[in-house]
Amino acid sequence: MATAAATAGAGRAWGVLAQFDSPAEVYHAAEKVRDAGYRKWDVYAPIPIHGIDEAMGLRPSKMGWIVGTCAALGASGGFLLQWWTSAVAYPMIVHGKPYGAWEPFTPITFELGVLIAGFGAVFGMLAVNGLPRWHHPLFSKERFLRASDDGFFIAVDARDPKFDESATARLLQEAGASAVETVEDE
Amino acid sequence: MSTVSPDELTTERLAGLEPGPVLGRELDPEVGDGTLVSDPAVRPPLVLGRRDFRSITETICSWTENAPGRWWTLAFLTSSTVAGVGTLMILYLIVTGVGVWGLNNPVGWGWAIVNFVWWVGIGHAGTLISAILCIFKQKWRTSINRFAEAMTIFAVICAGMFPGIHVGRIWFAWFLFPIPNSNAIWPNFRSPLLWDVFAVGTYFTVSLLFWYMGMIPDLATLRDRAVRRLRAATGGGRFELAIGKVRALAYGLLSLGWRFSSRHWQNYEKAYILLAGIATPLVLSVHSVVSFDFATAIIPGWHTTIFPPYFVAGAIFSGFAMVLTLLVPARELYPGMKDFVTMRTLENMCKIITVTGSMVGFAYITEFFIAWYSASSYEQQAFIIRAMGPYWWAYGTMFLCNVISPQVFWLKWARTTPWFIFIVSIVVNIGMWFERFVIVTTLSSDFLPGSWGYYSPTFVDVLTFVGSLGIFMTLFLLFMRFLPMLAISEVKNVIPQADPHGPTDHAADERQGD
Amino acid sequence: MAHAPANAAALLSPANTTLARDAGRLPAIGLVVLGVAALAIAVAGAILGDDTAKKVALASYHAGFLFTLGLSLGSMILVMILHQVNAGWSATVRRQLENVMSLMPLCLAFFVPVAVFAPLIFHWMDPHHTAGDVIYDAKSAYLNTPFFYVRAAAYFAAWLILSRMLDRHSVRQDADGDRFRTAKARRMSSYGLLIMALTAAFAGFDWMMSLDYHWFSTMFGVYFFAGFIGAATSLCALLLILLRNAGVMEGLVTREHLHDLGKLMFGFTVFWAYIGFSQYFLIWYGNIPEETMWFQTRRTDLWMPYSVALAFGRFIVPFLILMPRPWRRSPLVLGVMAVWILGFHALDTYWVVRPTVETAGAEVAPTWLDIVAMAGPILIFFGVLAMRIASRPLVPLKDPRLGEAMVHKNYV
Repeated sequence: MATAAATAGAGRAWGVLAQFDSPAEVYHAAEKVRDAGYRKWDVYAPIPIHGIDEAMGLRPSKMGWIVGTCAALGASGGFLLQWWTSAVAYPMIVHGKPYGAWEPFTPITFELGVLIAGFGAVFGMLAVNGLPRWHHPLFSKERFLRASDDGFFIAVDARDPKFDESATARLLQEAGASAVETVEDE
Repeated sequence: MSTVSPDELTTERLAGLEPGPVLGRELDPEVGDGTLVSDPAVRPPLVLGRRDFRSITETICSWTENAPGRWWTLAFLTSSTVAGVGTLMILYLIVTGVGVWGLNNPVGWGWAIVNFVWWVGIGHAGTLISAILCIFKQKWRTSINRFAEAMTIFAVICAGMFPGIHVGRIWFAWFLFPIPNSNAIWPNFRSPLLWDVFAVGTYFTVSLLFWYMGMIPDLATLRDRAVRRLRAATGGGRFELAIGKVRALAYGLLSLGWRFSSRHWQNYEKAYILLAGIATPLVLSVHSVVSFDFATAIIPGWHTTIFPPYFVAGAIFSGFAMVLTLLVPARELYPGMKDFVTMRTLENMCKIITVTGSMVGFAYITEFFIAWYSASSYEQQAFIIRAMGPYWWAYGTMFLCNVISPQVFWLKWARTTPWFIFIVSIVVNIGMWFERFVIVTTLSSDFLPGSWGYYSPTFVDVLTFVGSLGIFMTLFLLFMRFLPMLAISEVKNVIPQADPHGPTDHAADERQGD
Repeated sequence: MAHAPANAAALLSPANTTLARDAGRLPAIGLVVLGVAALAIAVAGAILGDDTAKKVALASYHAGFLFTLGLSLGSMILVMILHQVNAGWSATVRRQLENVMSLMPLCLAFFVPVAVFAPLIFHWMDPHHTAGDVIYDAKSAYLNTPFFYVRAAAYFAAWLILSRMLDRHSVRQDADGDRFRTAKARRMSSYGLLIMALTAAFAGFDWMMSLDYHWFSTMFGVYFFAGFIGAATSLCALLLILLRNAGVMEGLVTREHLHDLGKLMFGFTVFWAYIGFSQYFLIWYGNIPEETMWFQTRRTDLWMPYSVALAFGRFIVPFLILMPRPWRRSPLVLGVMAVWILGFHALDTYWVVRPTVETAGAEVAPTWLDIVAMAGPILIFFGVLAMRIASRPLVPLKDPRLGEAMVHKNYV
């Protein structure tokens, strides 16, 4: 088993990476890391593990507010666009309907609300997650590539105030890691 | 929505609760592959073959990583040839004018609009599977949602083509958008056709976003495998190495640096469910807007208030049929796919076809009844002409294919026999095409008998439609070849190993938020 | 995940799954007494009042009947859907829907006065009204008095039989624990839903649309359904919240179930708006007099405020309030919204029925008679419902999916 002490290569440590064998193990380890008071750390898993946000002590996602705001902006913008062009900028009698009647504007108001909300959901998610991103120090670890297959990992960032290379590694070891190694900064 | 296999579940069923007598009956025999269980206490497994995370990755990725069988090349050549014919027809139309179609004076909308509605409708099943079934937590959907979403995208591409070329002078198509111009004129926002532009445009964009976002983690899986393969590559030709590099680069760019972080997953899942939440009313709105194209007009037979939900039901109906048309052969052609797309998946889809087919039948009957009840002679005549006029054969085909044929799925045999499902799915698609044809040709006999006419298509109409099928199949084959056909991370999440709470420690952290 | 919680047996103890025999008896009797009193006042008002008063009283009573009928029908359809989709989460919720559904005989009783005095509000039954009316003549093969009663009998026969059979499977399972009753109920629900779709739609045509017998809309059956299904879901949520407050169903019905019911309430709110808007919009856009007259009646100075209130109260307010997840999970917010939706569903029913009352072509403004006549059947319905709830276990005790429902959790 590789240990944290085996720091190969130069450069200071980016953090510590620990591997676990199953969602259940990484889940319980996450609870321990959370209880130890770490802040800058993360769990890596090929699936969104049910309830892992509680185990990690994460706050609820902000996505709802982002998407809600986008929907409101899209819908109101859509309505204003139609109303202004049809009733103000270019009023034209169409089948005897009032210029500014709300009824025919409803479909596009709705569609534009959805469209902007859709952009908000996808691009907002990427922005909140700091993606896209060219590279990450973790990718230098061959082992880490298994996060996309069947590997479960906890990585603690060296910038965490509680971070201590050996103590953190020990904590992860005791939490049931099958392998722990140091990740170098690049 | 259990993820536990039947045996485990039966033994530990309702720990602490009385299992209760079965009143002298045996457990219903499990049919087929173990997923069709009629015991209400047993939840059939979602994934068969005792698969773990690794074998799921291996199987699904191998479909894109290995060279496809000869059938793929053959199918690709055929469909791209057909697509080429379609493209030629479109070019011919553009350089000549819409006169090459069979449109005439009462019937100003012909096959083009029929094809448009048919294709958009087909697309809706993808959104239903990915969004609505997601909201209802139907986990069996995880094995088909990627597939169905891809179908949606390609179907909407085919759909959007038809109104695009129907405008005649295609170089003025930008008039459809509210673009400030030197004439200071704006589009007519009170026109249903303009709503279509926005509805279908939004639908395509949001479906594409949804599809792509769902694929990001799986593209990252393909990326990591490509990178690992590159690193491990020893020898091999220069050509193979170049291909490997291109693969790694392409999947790398497309996966946006996704690294499976749980902090990311949290936002991702939330965004996904929100997208599903907005896609659900979107899919309803799109086909409702399509139905407004007809229903806001006062043409008898078109102007009827049930059109919006009736169109939506019909859309889902035909879309499910199209998913089955593609899925049943794919299940046979790709090794291991049957472990994910189980008999139960097919059975559930058949049931949805029966439900939506019956809804459509309900709408046909209501329409007919209210046309009579309205006491408006024009309404009555429109429906009598539909059923008994010059297009009686189209009406008959429609009724037979859409209302009668899906009723066969009341029989268990019918909905668990793949080849039979395949046939019915094609019948349903034919029927739904005829439904739109029946609606459109209502134009041939409107208020004034003096202006009645008869519509028949020209060879350009026919070949353009056939060409659109070719375009659809070509795109779909490319998708099957290069992209993850099943949602890898979602399928992984429904196997028992994904549950972080073993059966034993489940009670510990339950019910805390209460 | 289908693991039952370790303390399942304790959770299913009688203390947690039944109400005390006399619990809620007083309020229940109170509701019935109040309802009967309201009805008595309405009857007195109708007898003492003029012809218009009689029409007003019967129309509002009819709206009250339709409101209660909608709750029963909606609950029955929800039970069928839950069976049909093999739902697991709802096993602990279903009994309350069954309680509402099982009051179908009461709805039949409520219908009797409507049936007896029908010509007062169904103008097409009145020969003076239809003399020389070619439009009526064209549809008289459907809209005639004998056929009207035959159809009503057929609807009620179907509803009574289906609700009785479904309810019996559930109650008998409490005793014998035969889990295949769940499978039987599912099988029944498949054709049951088909029957429900046809009968509910045609009941809507008969009892609501034909009040204005010149008017027609193919969507109307769906509109009727869209309204009552949301109301039935709201009532279910409300009952569960009240029961939780009474200290029972601990660990059986949790915030997770309320959350799901909240989502359904939200969804049905949007669905109602979609159907209502589409119906209004297509008629507005077509602008043909024979169709627009129905909305014209409801756009007069008298009824317009009600129409606007309906759009805001039945759609915009619940739409905004039920949107944020924390609010949907809050029993307080959800309970308030359930009452709110039920209230506006009552207004919706009233809004469909009542503007059809007219004297000599003039519309009749709402009076106190409307309130008592409509409240009568509704109060009695809720009173009897309270007794029904106390009379049997609060969950299907031996449903094979109880365990699943107990550990149900919404992750996203």
